[in-house]
Amino acid sequence: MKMSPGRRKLLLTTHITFTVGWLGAVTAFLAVAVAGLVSQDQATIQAAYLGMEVTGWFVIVPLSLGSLLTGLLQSLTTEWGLFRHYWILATFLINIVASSILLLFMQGLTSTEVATPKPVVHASAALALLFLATALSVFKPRGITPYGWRKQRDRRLLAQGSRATGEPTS
Amino acid sequence: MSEERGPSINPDTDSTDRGSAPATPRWVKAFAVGVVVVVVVIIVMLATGHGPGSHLKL
Repeated sequence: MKMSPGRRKLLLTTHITFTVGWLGAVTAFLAVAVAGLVSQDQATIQAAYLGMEVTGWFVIVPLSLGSLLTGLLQSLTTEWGLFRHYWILATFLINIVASSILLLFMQGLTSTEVATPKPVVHASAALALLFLATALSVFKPRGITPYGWRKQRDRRLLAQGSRATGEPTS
Repeated sequence: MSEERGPSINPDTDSTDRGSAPATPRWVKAFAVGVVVVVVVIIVMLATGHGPGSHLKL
């Protein structure tokens, strides 16, 4: 499935927006989680947990799923593919793991009178993972998978065959 | 005296000129080790009751 350059850039913009938005929302979540953890005031702790619940379900979860979906579309509709380059596979794995842990964590997050370090630990781990995924997307470290190598070889052979026979490649 | 070199790497494909599949980069191996560690930590945490719902109000 091929996309026009305009649509491809629009999809890329959407993907970056979701992913960077996810990173920013987790940072805000971490700030609220720390505020709840260090506070001795019951009202502040409850307010922090309420804030984390609302931010988690209505901002972070939609952004993470949006990032996953647009990332999948992005890789499957361009020459990059999903399984051809190690860095794409790695970012996809990070996205899957982070989204799964987020959903599991959010199911257990509920208003409490005693703050636990759990939200701080989860948010910190999520930040580290998202930063790693962002760095991989920017640096795009070298390395193609055996599947990607076979695809490139087949395309090269096809192009060579077409040049030899004078037929244009599709 | 010329220095013997290994097969040159094609920057576009990361593969060698001899047509063999490319070797797995070191960063991928390190990443795979990290993934295994994370999975083990998650399994241990779930098994020891630190999973979702561990601080639900009953």
